[in-house]
Amino acid sequence: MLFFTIRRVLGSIVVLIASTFLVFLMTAFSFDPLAQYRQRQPAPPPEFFESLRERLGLNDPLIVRYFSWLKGAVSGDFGVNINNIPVADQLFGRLLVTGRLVIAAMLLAVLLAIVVGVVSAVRQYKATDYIFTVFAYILIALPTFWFAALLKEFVAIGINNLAGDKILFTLGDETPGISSYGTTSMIFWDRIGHLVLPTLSLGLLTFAAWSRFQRASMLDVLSADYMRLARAKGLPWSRVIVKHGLRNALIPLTTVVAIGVGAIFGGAIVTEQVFVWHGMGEYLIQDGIGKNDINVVLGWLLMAAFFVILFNLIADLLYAVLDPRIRLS
Amino acid sequence: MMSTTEDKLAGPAARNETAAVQPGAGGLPPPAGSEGKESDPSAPIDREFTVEARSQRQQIISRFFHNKLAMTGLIGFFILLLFGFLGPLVYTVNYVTLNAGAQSVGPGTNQGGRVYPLGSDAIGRDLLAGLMLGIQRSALVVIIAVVLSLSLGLLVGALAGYFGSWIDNVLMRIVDLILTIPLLVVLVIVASNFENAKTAVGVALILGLFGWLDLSRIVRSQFLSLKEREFVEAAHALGASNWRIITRHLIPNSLGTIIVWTTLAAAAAILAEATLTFLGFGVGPEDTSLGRLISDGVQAASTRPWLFYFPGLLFLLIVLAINLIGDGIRDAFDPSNKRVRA
Repeated sequence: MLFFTIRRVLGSIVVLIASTFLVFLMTAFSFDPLAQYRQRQPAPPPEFFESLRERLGLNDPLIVRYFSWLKGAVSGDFGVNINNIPVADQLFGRLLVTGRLVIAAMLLAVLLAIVVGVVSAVRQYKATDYIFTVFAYILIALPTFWFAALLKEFVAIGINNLAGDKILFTLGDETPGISSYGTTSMIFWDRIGHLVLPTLSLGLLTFAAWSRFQRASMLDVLSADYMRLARAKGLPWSRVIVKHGLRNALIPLTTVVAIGVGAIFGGAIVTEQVFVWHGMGEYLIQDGIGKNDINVVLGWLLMAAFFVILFNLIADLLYAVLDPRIRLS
Repeated sequence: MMSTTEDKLAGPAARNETAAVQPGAGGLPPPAGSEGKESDPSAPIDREFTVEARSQRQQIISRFFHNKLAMTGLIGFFILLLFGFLGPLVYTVNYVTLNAGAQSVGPGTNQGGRVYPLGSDAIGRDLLAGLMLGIQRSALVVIIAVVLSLSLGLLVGALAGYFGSWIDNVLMRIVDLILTIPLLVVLVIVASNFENAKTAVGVALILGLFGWLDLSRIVRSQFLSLKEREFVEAAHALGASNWRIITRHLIPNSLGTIIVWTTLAAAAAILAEATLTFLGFGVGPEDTSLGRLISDGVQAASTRPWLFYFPGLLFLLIVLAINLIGDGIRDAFDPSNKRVRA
C-alpha cells in the first residue's frame, strides 16, 4: 500500500505540473494583460506599451514566461491583479467562501445519494423506487441556474412570507459587514443561514445523477452470490444489506464523486452567480475574464486543477483501500 | 469476394446484418454457395424451433419499442419538435417583431386585438413564438455540437484504442490534462475569446470542440477489448485494412455505447448552452435559443413569472424526453440493466 501511495502521489504531481502548462498556454492565448491600457483615451504612445511589455516580461518567449510564473506559483506568489493587489490573498479568501458551498453540497449529495440509491435498489419497482426515480429524472433535466432561481424566488420567499420572518437568506454569502461587528457565533449562524439555499440547490442537482448510479451499483451487489450466502447462513436481512451489500456498493461511487468534483466546481460558479455570492465564481467571471486580468485567471485555474487532481488522487487511494484487488494487481 | 466471407466472421453485429434478412423473408433458401461452413442452423426451411428466429438487431429494436418510458420520451420528443418546427406554420407570429404596445403582458392577454397566449417579454416579443424559435435554434446547436464532438471523439478514441502504444499514451494524456480543468471553465474561457460570435452556431462550435473528451475514453476502452476478439483477428488474417476493421467491425460492435452517448451528449449540449448563455458567454441578445429565453426568464422571475415558468418547463420536458430515450436505448442494448433480481 505504501508503494502504491507513493506511485500515485508522484504521478499526480507530474499531472499537476503538466496541467499548469496547459493552463498557462490557454490563458496566454486568451487574455491580453495590456487590455486595460488599450482602451484608455487618449491612447498611450507605443513606447509606453513597449516599456510595459519589457517590464512585465511579455517579450520573453512563452516558455520563459511560463517558468517565471510557475516559480512564483510554487512559492505561493500568484502575481498581482490589475489593481496591484496580490492574487493569492484574494484567491484564498474566495476559496474559503466557495469551499463552504462545495463541501456542504458534496456532503449533502453523497448522503442523499447513498440513502436514496440503496432504498430504491432494495425496493426496486415499488412505489418508493418510482417516486425517487421520477424525482431524480426531473432534477437531472434542470439547468442549475433555473433550479437555483426557483428555490430563491419562490420557495425561499414563500417560506419567509409564511413565517413572517427572514429565515432563509437569498442574497450573498453573509450579511454585509457582519464580520466587523458580529461575534463569532453570530457570524457562524449567519453564514449557515446563507448557506442553506445554495447548498440545497447545488446538492440536489448533484445528488440526482449519483443516486441513479448508487442504485445501479447496489442492484449489482444485491444479485451477488455472497449476498445469498450471507442470508443463507442466517444473518438478518438488514445486516446483510448494510454490512455485505452497502460496503461493496460504495466502491464505484467513490470514483464517480471524485470525477464529479470538476462538475461541482462548475455548478458552484453558476449557483454563486444566482445567489450573488462573492466567491470563486464571481472572481473568475467578473474579476478575471471580465477585466481581462490574466493573473487572476491563471491563479483560479491552477487552484481548480489542483483540487480536481487532489480529489482524483483521493479517489484512487480510497479505491485501493476499499478494494484490495486494485492495489495487489 | 473476400469481403463477403469476411463479413460472416465479423462478430455479432455484422453477422446479424446478414441474418436479419433471412428470417424476415420467411425463410427463403439462402443463395447457393454463399453460405460458409459455419452457417447458422436457422437458414434451412424446416427449423428445429417453430418460433421465428430474431436477429440481435430486431430484438434490440423490439425491446426499445416495448419500453413504455422510452416510448413516452420518443413521442414527447416528436411532439416538441413538431411544436417547434411546424408550430410557426399554425401560429404565424414573428418573434422578432417588437410591440411597444404590449410589453410584459401576462399569458392570455388580449392587447390591441392580438392575443398573447403565453404573454410577452419586456420589449413586447411574443413568448409562444419565442419558444418555437428557441426549439429550432437549440436543435441547431445540438446537431452541430453532437456531430462535431461525435466525429472528434470517434477519431481520437479509435486512434488511441486501436493503435495503442505511444499514440494511445499521448492522446489519452492530453484528454486527462484537459479534464483537470472543469469543463465549464474551459468553455467559458474559450468563449470569452469570441465576443462577436455570440450566436447559436458559435456556441455550438465551441461545445462541439470540447464535447468529445468523454466519448474518446469510452470508444478507446471499447476498442481495447474488441480488438483482441477473434473476429478482428480473422479480419486481419483475411487482409482487411485497419480502416476497414475500424469502420466495419469495431464501430458497429460498439454502436450501442455510441448511440447512448449521443443521446446523453444531446441533453448535455442543451444544458451547457443554457449555462454558458446564463453566464454571459453563450447566445447573445441578438440571437435566440432556449438558454437565452430561460436566462432572460430568470432575471424576470419575480416580476414576470410567466417568462420564468414556460421556458423552464419546456426545457425540462425536452431534456427529460431525450434522457428517457437514451435510457431506453441503453436498456435495449443491454437488458441486464433491467433484469429483475432476486
